[in-house]
Amino acid sequence: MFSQRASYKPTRNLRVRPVPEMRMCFVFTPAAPKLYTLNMSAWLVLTLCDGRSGRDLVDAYATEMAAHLPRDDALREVRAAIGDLEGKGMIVRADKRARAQQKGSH
Amino acid sequence: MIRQLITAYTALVQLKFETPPKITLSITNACNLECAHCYGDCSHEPTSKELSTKEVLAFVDYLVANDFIQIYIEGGEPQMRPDFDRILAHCGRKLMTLVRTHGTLMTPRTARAWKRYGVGRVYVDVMGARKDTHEHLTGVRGSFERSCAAVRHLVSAGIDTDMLIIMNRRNVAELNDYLRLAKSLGALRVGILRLYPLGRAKRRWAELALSVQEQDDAIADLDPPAGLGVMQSWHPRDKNCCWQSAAVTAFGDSVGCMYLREYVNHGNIREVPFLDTWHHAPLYRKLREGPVETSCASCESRSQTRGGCRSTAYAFHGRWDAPDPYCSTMNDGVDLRVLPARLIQAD
Repeated sequence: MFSQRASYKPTRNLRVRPVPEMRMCFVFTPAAPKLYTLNMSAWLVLTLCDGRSGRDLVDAYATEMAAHLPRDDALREVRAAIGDLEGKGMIVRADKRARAQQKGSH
Repeated sequence: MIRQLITAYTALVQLKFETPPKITLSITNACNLECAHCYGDCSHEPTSKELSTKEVLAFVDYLVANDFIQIYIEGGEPQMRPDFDRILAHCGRKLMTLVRTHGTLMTPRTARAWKRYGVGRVYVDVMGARKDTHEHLTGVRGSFERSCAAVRHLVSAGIDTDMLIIMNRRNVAELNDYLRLAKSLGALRVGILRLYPLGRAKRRWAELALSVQEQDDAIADLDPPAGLGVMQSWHPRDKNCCWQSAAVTAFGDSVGCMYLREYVNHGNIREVPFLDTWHHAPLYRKLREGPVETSCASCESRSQTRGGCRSTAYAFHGRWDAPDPYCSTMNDGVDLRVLPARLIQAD
């Protein structure tokens, strides 16, 4: 579930294959091997998942999309995209990934 | 109205990749079966012309370095290569890795190893719902049970597994039994594939081929069990895939699509980088641009491509821009049960 306070990062070893000529990208999740296709807005949300918080994500997304949609819509789109990306294993909450890495190193 | 708009749109906007994200790689022409319809005209032993382990691994590195994201590995039978585990382990965590196999060499241990290597999906060829049908087509006794067991092993190992059947006169009456068999084995989807006039299939054409009407009727009669996906490419789903296709044979030839292997050679990856063939081979470029004489509006609106499959269009008409006679709308009286003499003479 989307949280404004949590921070989000791509999962380890995620591979993103941009296809700008078709306004989409492919994403490969090696841990649970699947190939996904993202449209431009989901791709933008994934790109913004660089460790920033959910709140900052919405701000950044709203800024990028300012010409196209109001902030409430941006929040709704980010919320949906984060749930989808997290559910498909493309992103993790940064603190969760840190904990998982720490656990793996013991 | 909507369909007309989509058709008008697709006529204007040709789908295009600057460079291909996905590729098919055949890694051997060796196979332990003797299929009547074998497109590769496989033999039990590999030839010395096949890409070596070093060449295959280097090519996989090349694909990763050039931003490919998916590899579909086929043969022959990939498991005939003694280095296949090494190849899979090399691909698995860098590329979405799909494997096509008939599975007769699969064990529970192999399936678990494939899972560890990161294989994302496996397609198992099973050529009929019944042992006698399958083994008539594969030419090897015991192969039916082993292929079915392979599906079970892969499913048990947690790998998404589909079953593939090449529809022909021998198995067309049992397609619904086949769907039920697939469901019972745990397959997620069934791919019903067309019979291509390639390799040994050409020599058994009169025995195996169906008319377009017989094919359409069989597809219309499909009644898949709940939860089982069915993939098929008959009207109105006849696609022209050339715009995105990339394939390399076991000998290193860039052929665009494995179903074009007898008709084209855009260059050999031992001599030129693969992407040079993609960018510069004139026929490869032309096929991707997709010029066709005519198109089926229904297939076009679904697939956003025009003219249908180029392999069967070329096989029956001898022209790259001809309509695909496997689509009933574009068939125009072509009897698919009769091969053009040109194909038989070329064999």
